[in-house]
Amino acid sequence: MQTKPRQVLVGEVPVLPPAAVWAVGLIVAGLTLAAWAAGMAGGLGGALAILAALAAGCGASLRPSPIDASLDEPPVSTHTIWVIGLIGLGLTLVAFVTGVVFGAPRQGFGVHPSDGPRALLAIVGFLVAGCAVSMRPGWYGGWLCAAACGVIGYGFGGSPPAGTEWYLAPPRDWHSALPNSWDSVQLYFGVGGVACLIGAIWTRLPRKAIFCLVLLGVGYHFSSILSAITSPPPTPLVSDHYWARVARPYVQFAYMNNAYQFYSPDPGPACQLWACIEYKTEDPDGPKDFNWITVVDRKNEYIDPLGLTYYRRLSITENTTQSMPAGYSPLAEEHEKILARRALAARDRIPRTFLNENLEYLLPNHLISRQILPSYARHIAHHLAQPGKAVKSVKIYRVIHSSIKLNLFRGFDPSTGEKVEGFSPYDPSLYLPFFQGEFDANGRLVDPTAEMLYWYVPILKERPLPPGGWNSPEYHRNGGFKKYYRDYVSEHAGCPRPQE
Amino acid sequence: MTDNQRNGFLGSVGRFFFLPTDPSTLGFMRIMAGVLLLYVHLAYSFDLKALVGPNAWWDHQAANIQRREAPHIPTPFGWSTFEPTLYLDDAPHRRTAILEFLRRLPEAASERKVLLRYLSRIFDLTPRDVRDGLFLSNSAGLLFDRDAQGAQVRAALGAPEVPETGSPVTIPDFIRVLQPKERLLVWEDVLAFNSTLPDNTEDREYILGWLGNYPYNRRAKLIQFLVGERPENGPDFSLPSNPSERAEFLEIEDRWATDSRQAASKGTSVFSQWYHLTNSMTIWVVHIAALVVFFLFTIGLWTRVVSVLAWTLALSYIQRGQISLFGQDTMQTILMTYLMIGPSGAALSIDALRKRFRASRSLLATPGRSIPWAEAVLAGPQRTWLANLAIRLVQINFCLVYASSGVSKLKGTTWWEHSASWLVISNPEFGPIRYPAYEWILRHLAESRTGMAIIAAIVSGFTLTIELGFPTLVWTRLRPFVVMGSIMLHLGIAVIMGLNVFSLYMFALLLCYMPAKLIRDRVGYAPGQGKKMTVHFDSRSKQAIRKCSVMRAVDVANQITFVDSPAKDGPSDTVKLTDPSGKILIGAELYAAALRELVLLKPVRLCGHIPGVWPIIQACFGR
Repeated sequence: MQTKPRQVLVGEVPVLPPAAVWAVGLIVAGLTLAAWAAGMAGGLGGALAILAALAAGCGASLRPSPIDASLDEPPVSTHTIWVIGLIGLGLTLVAFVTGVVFGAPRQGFGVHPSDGPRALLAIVGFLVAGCAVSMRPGWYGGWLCAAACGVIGYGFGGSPPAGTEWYLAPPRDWHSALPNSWDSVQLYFGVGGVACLIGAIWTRLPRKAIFCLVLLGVGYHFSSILSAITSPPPTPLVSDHYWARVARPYVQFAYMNNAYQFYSPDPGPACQLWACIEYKTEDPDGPKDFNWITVVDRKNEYIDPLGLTYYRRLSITENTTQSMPAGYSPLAEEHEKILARRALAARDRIPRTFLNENLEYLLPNHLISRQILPSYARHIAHHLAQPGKAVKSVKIYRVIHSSIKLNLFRGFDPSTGEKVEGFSPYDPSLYLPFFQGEFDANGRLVDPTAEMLYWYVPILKERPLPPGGWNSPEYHRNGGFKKYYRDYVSEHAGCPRPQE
Repeated sequence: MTDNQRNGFLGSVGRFFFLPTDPSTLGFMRIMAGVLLLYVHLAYSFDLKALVGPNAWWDHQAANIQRREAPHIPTPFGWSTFEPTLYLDDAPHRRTAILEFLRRLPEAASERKVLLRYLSRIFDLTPRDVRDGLFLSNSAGLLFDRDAQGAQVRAALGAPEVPETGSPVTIPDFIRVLQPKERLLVWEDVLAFNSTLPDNTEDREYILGWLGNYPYNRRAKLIQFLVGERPENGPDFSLPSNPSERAEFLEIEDRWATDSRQAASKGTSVFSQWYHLTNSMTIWVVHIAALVVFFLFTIGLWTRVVSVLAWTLALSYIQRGQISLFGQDTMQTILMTYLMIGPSGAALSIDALRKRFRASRSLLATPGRSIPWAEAVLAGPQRTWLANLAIRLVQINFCLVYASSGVSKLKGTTWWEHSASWLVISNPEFGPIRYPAYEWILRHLAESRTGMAIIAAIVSGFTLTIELGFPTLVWTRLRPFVVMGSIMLHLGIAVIMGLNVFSLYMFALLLCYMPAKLIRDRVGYAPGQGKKMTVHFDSRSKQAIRKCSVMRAVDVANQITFVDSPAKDGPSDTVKLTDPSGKILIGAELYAAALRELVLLKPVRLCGHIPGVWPIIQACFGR
């Protein structure tokens, strides 16, 4: 027996009249704009407010068209959605109340014993509300529950005092289901909450309006990506402004800010980090206790079959390569002293090589010298500290492993036009170490006026290699690396570097 | 109203983005992305705490500061340039001395104005006078007997004509020309200024050196900043008076070389639970939970929620481990974002099988009745505009990746002269040159300069052709060829540069250019495949309907014909299957036959060889 398929309207509820859509949209837009004005959501709030207003406008301007949903599976009842959504909301509210009851800090990012349970409750609550949305995305009830979870998870509070917007710790009361020490997750909840609010409105919009808004969203999405693509120097002014003022919050949040300029404009050499760790000893005049680590070390760090662990380490070293921008010149007085200090080092033990100063002295940019290298030093000190052996200091060398030129590899001297012994890509003299400083276990630069700070510390070939190069038996028979090369890195560190 | 009519008002743009499409392509991309996602995050396990822990390479201390503070100063609109409030020395020791000087300046602006009057005076003079004036300050600070030697200076300054000798400090010309009374006042100002400087000679020289070298055209603003007279268009950009505000201001100057009051925004809009977790056990629990989510995403269970969760969790590793990222993380994010937007669980997933189960149950429970939605579900994945949108977004983004990569290479000389390919294939950290056989081949090839030049030209030319040509040619009939070219390029990258996971992600992205029919034919099972069977059941029995619904859900090739055969003596739970050889089977044998014959279950059948699996199946379905 056949029955006539039932005609189902979207969400099985009557479509709201345009005036109601306008009202809801404008309320959402107003609330979001208010939040934006209060500095709660920054540029993202503004962008979402505009989207919400557009949603409302399109909803009012286009006639809703009922959709024949006979081919859609009958949706879950709204009662079930309400129950599940409200359970999620309830869990989030419990997290909120827990924070209030246990007196969790409302200012700053200080931690509190209730932080973990609150975070767990809020996250589970948001997840449960999200499940309600997924069970019936075409109905606004689930969206509203999830939106409420998101907004409560993001939090609310007063505006900061006038003129204090630049404070590190917010000098204002901030109430949220999530602890304030979990501020990055609060941001996620905020974005999720506003997205769910917009989702709730969209369920009431006709398909045409949705398509129009989706196209607008696609335009924003790809224009933001384009601004990220064109942001590396030389940056067009339009991209600069668009990225900074419109796209930045979005592309950073969604990690869409890559310029996709792989191996461009030219493939560069890879980098390594060598670190010499000096341990504290009871007798300051006694023998010193050292250890060396090399990042990256293919033998030990190529752990998984596809080498992800190795390439992640390689990225860690790559993040130390950015130098100060072209055209940067240090204070003339300091520049003279830098040269004087280097001359002193050259007189004592470490010669300057044929390279000119611009290649021998590479000042890292601010982020590297002030944030990344201290962090690496702290990590190494923490990682390599042993029971009863605290780390005294960490000397870090950034080592550029120069790419070998084809003629060197082949063994051709362009100046004489004669065949010479071919170089190995692993020839020690192709490694160019630059001293990045000696740090204590807390990542503080021990001596900012160190003679060799940011200077090239050479590894020089002292005599010609035997036929067959450094892989030949004769090379090893004669004493190997120590015989043929002079490693000034070891001399500078005060401890011989292990040779692979 | 059909979907075509609904989006027709947008014309070709509407058709391009919103024409309903089979989600099978997305489903297969989800499986590929899920497998890679699982692998990538399993690999995190080896280095978990070193990458996302509190003492990671990029540790909580640095990462949270960067996330919360990093000021962002956009280029100003119009014909103006950005002027920092303060120019500080980059050398750490000099910067430290200057910041300490600023920290020790009195809280009250009026007091600072008095103490810095000398600086204010000399900054109005010529560069030479400024140098002499700061030299005087330094000399005055070096007086070993301040009372006696100070008296000598005062005597010299109080004389009608400043004597050339007899003063322990050199009196600059701009003071000499003043009246005696005024000279003495200047000297008092020098001493007042010196009281703000540190006693340490070296630090004092750093500060005076900084002042002496301060950009000439910014000196007036420096004085305004120091004495609290630099309100600009509302905000006060002066040195903060409040000690805690000043401490915070100086801290940010030290870290970011920026006055955060000038920043349009501060911090980065990133999120990750790894910024907040410090306990080892919790870190591992969350990591394992993430792996479970990625597994669910791969098999396509509860995909609508799980895809958002998987995107969130994958991104949280990326946002936290910013110093350990490379190209594959970018590709992973692209893939995950669009798979989250599209109905990636609508095909080739457990969700799809569950939906088939529900549809089968509805149909089998009411034999002879037409249920359009259930019939549509059993007919295969339903076309949706969202699937098309997601596919289009991946396609466009992929083109942008190639266009950007290709165009930016044109800026590099090595790509023009073809040496880029040599730099890549000989890179010791990436390439296989560590293998003697590979090095041997390269050395023999290098013997022929022309031969190497031709190889380099082919590699460079091929790379540029694919990257520059793909974004346009992929929309033409040449699509299969450029997609093949792209596969070859990434195969080369995987082999020569060892970037295997990156290349695998690129392959997963390239699937978006493959038609759903191709995916269904090659990966899924079309109706008509496999041997035919018949199942007899009693539609009055819920148990029988459940059993049959399970079979029909997994019978994606429509191998089984279901026949409603009501038992004469009331509802019967027994389900009978007539296998391809005509044998009638019930109970565990029925399921054994289903496992043997149903095409979708062929891979599952192999699991029956694992000890203990078959008894479990019997326990579940044997009745």
